[in-house]
Amino acid sequence: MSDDEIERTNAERPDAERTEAARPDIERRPPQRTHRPRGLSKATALMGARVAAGVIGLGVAAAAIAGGALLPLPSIEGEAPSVTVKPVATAQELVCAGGILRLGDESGQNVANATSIGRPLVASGSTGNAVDSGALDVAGTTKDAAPTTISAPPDGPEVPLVAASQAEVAASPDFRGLATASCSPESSEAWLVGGATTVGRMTLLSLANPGGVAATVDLRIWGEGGAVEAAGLTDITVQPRSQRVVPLSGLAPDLESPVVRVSSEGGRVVATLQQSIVRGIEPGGVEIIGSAEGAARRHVIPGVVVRNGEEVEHSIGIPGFADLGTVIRVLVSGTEERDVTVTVRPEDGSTGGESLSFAVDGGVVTELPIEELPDGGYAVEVSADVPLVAAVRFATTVTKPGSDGFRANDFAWATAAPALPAEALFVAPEAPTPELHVSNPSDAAITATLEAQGSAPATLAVPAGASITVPLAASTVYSLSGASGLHAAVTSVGDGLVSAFPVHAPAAASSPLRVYAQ
Amino acid sequence: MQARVTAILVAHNGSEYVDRTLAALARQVRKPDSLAVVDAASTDESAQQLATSGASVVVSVRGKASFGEAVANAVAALPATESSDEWLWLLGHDNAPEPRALAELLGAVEIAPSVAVAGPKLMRWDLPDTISSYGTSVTQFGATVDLVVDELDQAQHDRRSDTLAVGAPGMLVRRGVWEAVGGFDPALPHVDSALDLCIRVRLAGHRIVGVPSARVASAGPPEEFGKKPLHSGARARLAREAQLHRRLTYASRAALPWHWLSLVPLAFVRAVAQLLAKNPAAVFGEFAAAFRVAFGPGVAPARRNLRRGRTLGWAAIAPLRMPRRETRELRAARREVRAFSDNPGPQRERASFLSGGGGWITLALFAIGLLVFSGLIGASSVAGGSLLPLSATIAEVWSNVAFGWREVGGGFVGAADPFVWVLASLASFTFWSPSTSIVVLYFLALPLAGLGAWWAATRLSERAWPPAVAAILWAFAPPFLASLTEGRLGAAIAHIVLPWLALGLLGAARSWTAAAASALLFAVAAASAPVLIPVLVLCWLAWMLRHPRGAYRTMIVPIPAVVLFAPLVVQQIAAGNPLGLLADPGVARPFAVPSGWQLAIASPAGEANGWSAVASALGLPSLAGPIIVAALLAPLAALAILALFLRGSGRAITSLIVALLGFVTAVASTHLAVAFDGSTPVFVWAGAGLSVYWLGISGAAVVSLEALGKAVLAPAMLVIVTIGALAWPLAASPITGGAEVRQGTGRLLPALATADARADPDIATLELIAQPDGSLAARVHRGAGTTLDELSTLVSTGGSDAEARERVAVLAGNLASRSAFDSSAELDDLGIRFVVAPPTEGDRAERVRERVVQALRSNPEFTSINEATEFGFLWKFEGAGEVDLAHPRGGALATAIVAAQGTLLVAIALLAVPSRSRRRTAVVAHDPDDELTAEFDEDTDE
Repeated sequence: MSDDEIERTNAERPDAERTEAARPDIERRPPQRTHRPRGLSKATALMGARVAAGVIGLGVAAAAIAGGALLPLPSIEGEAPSVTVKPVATAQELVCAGGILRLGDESGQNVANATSIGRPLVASGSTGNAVDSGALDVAGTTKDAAPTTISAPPDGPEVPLVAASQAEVAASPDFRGLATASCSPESSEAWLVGGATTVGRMTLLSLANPGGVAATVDLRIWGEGGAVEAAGLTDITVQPRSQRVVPLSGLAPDLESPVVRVSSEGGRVVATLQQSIVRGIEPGGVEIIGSAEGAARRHVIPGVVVRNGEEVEHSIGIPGFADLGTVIRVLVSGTEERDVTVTVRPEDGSTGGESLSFAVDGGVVTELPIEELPDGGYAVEVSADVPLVAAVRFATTVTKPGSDGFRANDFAWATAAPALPAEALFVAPEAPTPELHVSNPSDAAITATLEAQGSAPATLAVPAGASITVPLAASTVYSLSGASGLHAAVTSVGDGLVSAFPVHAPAAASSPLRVYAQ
Repeated sequence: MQARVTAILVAHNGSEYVDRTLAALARQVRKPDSLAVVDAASTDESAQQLATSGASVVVSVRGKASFGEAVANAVAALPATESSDEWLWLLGHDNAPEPRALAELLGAVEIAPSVAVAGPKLMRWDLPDTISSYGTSVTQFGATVDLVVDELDQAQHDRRSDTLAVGAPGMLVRRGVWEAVGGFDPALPHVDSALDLCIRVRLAGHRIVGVPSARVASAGPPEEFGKKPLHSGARARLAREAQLHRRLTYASRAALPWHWLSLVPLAFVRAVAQLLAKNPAAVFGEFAAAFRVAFGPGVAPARRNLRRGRTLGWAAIAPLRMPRRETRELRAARREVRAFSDNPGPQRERASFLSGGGGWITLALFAIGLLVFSGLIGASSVAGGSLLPLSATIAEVWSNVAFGWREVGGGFVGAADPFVWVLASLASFTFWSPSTSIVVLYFLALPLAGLGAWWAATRLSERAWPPAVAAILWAFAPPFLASLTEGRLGAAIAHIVLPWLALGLLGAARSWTAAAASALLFAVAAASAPVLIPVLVLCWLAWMLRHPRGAYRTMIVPIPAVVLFAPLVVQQIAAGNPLGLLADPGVARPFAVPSGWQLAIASPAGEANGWSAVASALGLPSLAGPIIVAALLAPLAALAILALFLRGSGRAITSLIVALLGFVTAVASTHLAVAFDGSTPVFVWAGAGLSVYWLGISGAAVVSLEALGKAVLAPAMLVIVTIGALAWPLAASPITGGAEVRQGTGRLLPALATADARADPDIATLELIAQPDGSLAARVHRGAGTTLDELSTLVSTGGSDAEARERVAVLAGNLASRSAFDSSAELDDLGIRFVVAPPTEGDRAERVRERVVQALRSNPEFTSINEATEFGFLWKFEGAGEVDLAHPRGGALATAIVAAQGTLLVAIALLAVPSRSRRRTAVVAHDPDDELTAEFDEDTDE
């Protein structure tokens, strides 16, 4: 860079002064003297100009800073380009629990393995293409008793609804009764409310993994004494496309009222409980319990059926028969005592029903008995101001004529049913007198349409806060439209046979996701 | 026998000369025997004036006839030769001969029958006692040398008579010889035409003499005959063209192909040399001349003509060539003359670098810089903030400056950010490890900034204190320190460059070196902080208007920036996103947008330059931080405003206007969100605007200190102490760990992905980043990760190829969901082998990340590699074999763009090399009117 000077940068500075300024001895002189001889008026003018410039400068600076800080200046804020990705629809896949299992084979040997005692009748249907079905790999089980997978491939962008249910009537020395269950989609978290591991009560936890990735399952079990600490609750591996059966008694023995939370990583599983009761040598029923609604502040449990109530009440007094009674099993989150409100409504279209409040300890499973209900269907509503899970166990008993007072007992678990979307599909099981129980907990009447495939649609008018019962034809696919906000369950009740399952909402397709590719 | 002389007078738009010339002809003591006049397509009254001359032959030439052609036409119109002693006297309209001119010429030729051509001494038309030209020779290599140029006639050249050649005006030539050698070469219309004729005459066995006693006027060189004066570039081109034409014409047959092949390469070499000689106007001419001679039609006929007339070998003219030593001396003498004709202005006193304290301050700043960034000692890269490593090899870094395939944003063909040129240039300093250059820059940042400010301040000051204060103000400028600690490399580089740019711009009107250097610095500043472009352009325009005389030099200042930005401008405008040009290059990283008050106290990131944290640590209220900063800034602000009231207030006004522009830029930055980090809009970093703000304030403070004279000490010390205190929290933050920059590991992706990328550099890693608004950002990192030089503002502002982005988005969206999407085909197509989900913060982001994690864990195509590392969860996709991607290239367009950008930058860089000796520079620079003082030796290439 050359050393040359800045030229005439200062317009106001006269040339004479510039030359003066170049001299090193400038500092000895007062600046005004450089403007002589007629510099006085010029200097005054210059001073005036400088003062003016300074004042203007101050003003501009103040204005600029105030403007920058106080003016509501508009911002130019673009929007990042993004793509809302609607995930490609996958085939809806449901897993049915499979046949009723016993530990060990028929000879009572090999108790580590579960084997099936029969095979369930599976009925399925979809709103779209034909339904594909398959079976999972299960050691020791015949293929047709293994858990069945039901899927309906997507029809273009439309995802068809698919539903299936299974039913099995057991009549062996150890197992007797009706077990129905709806087939459900895999999930990474499930709440199972039901079962018992006291004497004569066997509960098997079935983990079915229909996916292609091994699932690592962690269990948490609560009982009447609180959370259960035990080895083997975590890191239970379920291989792809297989079922694993875990006896609950091995993890939590002698538990009257377990609640199990199943969470899986990697692959996802369908978890079910199979509970059977043997009182002495008398089989007391069998039930397959599907996953209940997850923890929420309010649950609606339709489809609690009291049949032969008097006889049940009568039998409860007999030792070992206490669990014939209707109870609500509740687990409230947290560790503090909470008030849980229970409303039991008859399913006759009326809005009546009684509300009771119970104080329930958090973190401890509590069973709230419901006594002296007349025969009929009921919807139970359980609510608290903290999340809870709940289910209702009910039973029936019948003394068979000419059988020496031999009673045929069976029990069922009505689990919390989800609020249905506008369109739902379900299949009535191949079981005696199936019925649909519909509950409307909302403040407005809902009119839905029930249509059996191949029949004329029927209108279901459910008043606000009321529940109704509709008879169904066995092994038939039903679609329920306009059902938004309703909760529903399907029960099957025969002589000494009872079973129930809720109507599931279809598994939500993956929601669209906004993606910014950068 | 009496010699018969035909005077041939050619007029071409010479009405102002013709009358005097005709009158002079009439006054000849030995009158020409006949007069032929040629009107060479004049558009003025020349033709009418000639018509009254009483010439025996009147020829009128249509079209664009040169002097030579006009003469040839006249000779053709003459009656046939009657005797061997017939002579042609060639005159242009401006060649008024003195009364004895013809007599003297004839006298010279009559005593020596071997003489075929005699030339007069050409005197300047306006200064009759100054020799315009007298005799021409060639160097050993064939370059033309005028023996005399514009010298006062003191009879100093009158001893010379035999010369190689004489000029065409006033030339007396034997008609027989003229016809034998074929007259002037039509391919040499003006420059060197007489030289060429004389050489052919010599080769035909005749002699040529100069006749000093015969004096003929001349109004200009032959190429300006009848035309307006040419500019230097055109003159250089014509001279070069004539020289090359002669070279091909005279060359032996064996050498001809080599000469021909050397034309264009030589043009390149000479263009570089012309640039180094600060002679940019001649560059274009070099190429034009080379191409015109190489492919023009003139050489073949000229060679035939030469062969026909030639009787002697080239040895015949060898003694008449100018010896090399003499050539050198002649040129040196002419340079001296030119230098002495300049008028050196008064030298200003200025603080010298060493005794004035510049050296000590730089050294101290270096030590402080080393201390502040001591955490980086031994690092091979800097990480954190907006910093990423550069590519692993210098070749990769440079490959990213080109218009072409870019990996980011799903891959697209597009323009590079001009900032990549800056990065690549920077990286070249540590070419063995490009990322190290950024570490070195961090160590040198403070001293470089201080040094630049010191030099710039010496232009405003004659004392030692003001530059010292300027250096400290600039090195400890809060926006600078904030940019450094936040890793805003572009803004930091712009801050370092600004005082140098100001320094260059001050000299740009007078020096090509300064103009070219400021052009490069302008490009660096604009590329590093594009938001400064408006204020830079305003300053440049103002400076150019202020110095209109040097405007042709100042004009080049924005050219490199324009050329570097041009492809990006076209693409951004095509994408409908012109504001995206202002986006900060590099990593788009959101920051807390500062309020106007924060900007006023020069705090680009809010937080009152780190004082908010200090205040809260001391338990003071939240407003204490800004108030402390404002108090520490008060002395500086007072000094800057005071400058308006003191001597030099004009400079102060300029400085404060710059400060105002800087403040406006900073405020505008905080209202301009053109880039995006995922879903989050990223505002333009206000640090760059605040640097300009600080520049103006510092400038005004320097003016003020300069005007305070002896009273400088107290205010200077006060400002140094307060600014030092102000800078303390920011400067200490890298040591205390408060700063975001830290030693980098050089790794951008999890170790496994990096290792696999080493084996197969084409593999990619898909990064799925959960966004705070519940959306997902997807980035594809090719190879070992996206480096700083691979980033593009086209992507960060959303101007890149939408289709490629959508493809990545669809893949990412489906991978993050339960989906029947055929992701393995798409992953293979894109070469993706890894998916990484980095940790996030915030509820909604966590939910999205959980969704991604769940979906990938249940996806049988992926193997989960490890749980949380610093990079988050990692999955590997076992694709089909090696990844081998064939990317579309930019094609010819890309090559052309890179070639154009590279050529221009190299040209400007050559122009910026200070190639002239210091003494000459110093002298020349004092005369702003001096056009092109650079001397360029004609025959350096031969």
